[in-house]
Amino acid sequence: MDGFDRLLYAGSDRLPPELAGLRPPCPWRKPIGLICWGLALITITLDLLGLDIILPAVGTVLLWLGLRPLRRENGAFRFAYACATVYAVLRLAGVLLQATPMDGCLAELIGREWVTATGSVPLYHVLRTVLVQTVLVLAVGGLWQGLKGVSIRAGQEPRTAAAGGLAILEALLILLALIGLEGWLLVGPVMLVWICLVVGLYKLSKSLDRVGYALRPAPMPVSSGLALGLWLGLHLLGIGVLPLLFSRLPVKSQTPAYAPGGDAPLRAELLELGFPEDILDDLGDRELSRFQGAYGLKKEGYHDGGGAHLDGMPSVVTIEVPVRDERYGFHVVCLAYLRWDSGESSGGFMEGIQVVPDLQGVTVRTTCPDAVLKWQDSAGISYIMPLDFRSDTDDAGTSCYFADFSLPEDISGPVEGYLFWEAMPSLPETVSIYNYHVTIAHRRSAWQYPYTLPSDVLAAGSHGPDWRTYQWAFEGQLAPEGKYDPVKY
Amino acid sequence: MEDARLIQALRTRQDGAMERFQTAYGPLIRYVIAPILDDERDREECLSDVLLRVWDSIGTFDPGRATLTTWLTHLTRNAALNRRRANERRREGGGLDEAMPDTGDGPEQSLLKAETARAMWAAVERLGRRDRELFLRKYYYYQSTGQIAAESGLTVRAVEGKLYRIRKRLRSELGGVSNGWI
Repeated sequence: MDGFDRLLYAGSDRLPPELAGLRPPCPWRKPIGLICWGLALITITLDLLGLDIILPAVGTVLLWLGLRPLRRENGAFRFAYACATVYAVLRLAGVLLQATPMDGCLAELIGREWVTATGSVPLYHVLRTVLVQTVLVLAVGGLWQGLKGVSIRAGQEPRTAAAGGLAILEALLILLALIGLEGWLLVGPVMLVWICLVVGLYKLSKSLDRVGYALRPAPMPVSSGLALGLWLGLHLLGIGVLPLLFSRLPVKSQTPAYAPGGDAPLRAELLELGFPEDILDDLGDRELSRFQGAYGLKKEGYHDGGGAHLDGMPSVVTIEVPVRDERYGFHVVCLAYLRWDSGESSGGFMEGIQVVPDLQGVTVRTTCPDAVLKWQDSAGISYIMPLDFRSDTDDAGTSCYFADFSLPEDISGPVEGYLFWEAMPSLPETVSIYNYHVTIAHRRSAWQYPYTLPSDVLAAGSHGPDWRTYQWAFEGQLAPEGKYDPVKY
Repeated sequence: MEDARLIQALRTRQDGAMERFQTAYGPLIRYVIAPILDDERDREECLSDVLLRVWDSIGTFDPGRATLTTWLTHLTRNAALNRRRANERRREGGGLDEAMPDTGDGPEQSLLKAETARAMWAAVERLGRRDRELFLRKYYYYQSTGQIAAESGLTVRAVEGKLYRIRKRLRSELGGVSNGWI
């Protein structure tokens, strides 16, 4: 202590009249204020400019910072502080997981759906929400009991109804979410009660100055401001960088590729039916054999290869070939030929294809598409990559087939996709009409949050500005030989 | 409303009024006393002393001028400081606490100190709200840097840094006044 310190201590002895009304520092005000703001920001959901992530992240750290100085008061506060720490870790893990494919993988691993009043949601999301919210309820419950503890220790009647009410309401919110009850008639009053309780908790800090504060000061490794900054920085880093690591899907290329040529009589037969020669030239023996027994052909979208199409989108040609078979008498082989020009195929990060069998009635059955991509690298080596289609339903509940992939980066010339599937008649004696939609999704930006597969975008039927979709529809017929008329439909 | 009833009960010397007052305000009194007096026995004696003073002087309390909490805080702080000074004087073979003002000043010295205090408070008034609060915690309530840090959500180092900057600013603003004092 130097002479100037002595002066300040001595000068402070003579408190001026204008400061005579000075209230003593209330050690509760700041922690309780932080807790109230934390709870408020955690609960507020503003789906705008990333506020749905930022506000809860700030709220989480404020709750933790508010409970940090209280943890030495009693066991309940220590419990609440531990819960707030676990809650923060779970929230951060959730935010980071959503930047990676892991979130989708976990949802797929658990698989099941949870049915609510407003629809079904993946069980994984329900379990995650329940876990995180339960930890929050425990933290608020700890806060409630901690406040009761300090009041009782000070020989005062506990006035902690607001904290208790908050713990009960937070638990009630979990139940409401599980049931899926929505609408302002229900949510409005609940929110009103919730706001009253938070305000009540904040006001509690003003009366808490009477219960004392036996804080044992301990050196803190980081200040509140720095902790908040680090926490937000961690979120921003995770959200900013992690998606870049998963911007492309793995390209499972195989080489040597394929051997065009083979069955010359079948080729000649298909050419005679009108099969586009350039597409036929690229088909391997196995692919060609699908058309064995062809007795008709209908093609749509065929052009000379120089047509204009949307940036990042392939040109699409669909070919329908009815063939004789022993089991059904006949069936139709459908081929969707997709062609990405070299300038387009190198510019995307993720592509997706959705095949929707549409307006089929009861007389047509469709097989899952069997698809492959073909291209050559800059050294002229040919590659193929099988596309794994999976059967699923879109958000409207329609059964369809989805495939997700990324186009190869090292290419010379176009990348071509060949999607084969078969339509089989349930009633072979009748002529059946069918429709198919082939929708292609394309993402050009390396960064996206949350991590979304093209099939998710296709299933949702709507997308943000980072995505483009293109839909190709065609119709055909299932008709036995002699009744097939490609011009009629 | 509750305070008003309590004050009225104390003024009319109702049974149990002092117990109720001690239950309500005992923790606050302890909070103010704790940083000023190190010894637990001293603290308990000081608490009793404060309660006695409240009992004696509740009639002079004017709710129009200050809240009960404010009045009580100042009363407690002054009682604790007086006890601390008395302890220092009694300490056999020990010097006075450097933080304590010298009570043996002459009229000229007292005038100079009053002038310095006025200048100091004027400078404190010009500080920002947070800096002013920090200053009061340190120099008025005698709180340790560790306690200030824990209650303000800062590190000890950050509090020391802030107090250093506050001292530097006050030293610069007080200028010749502080030099004259030293």
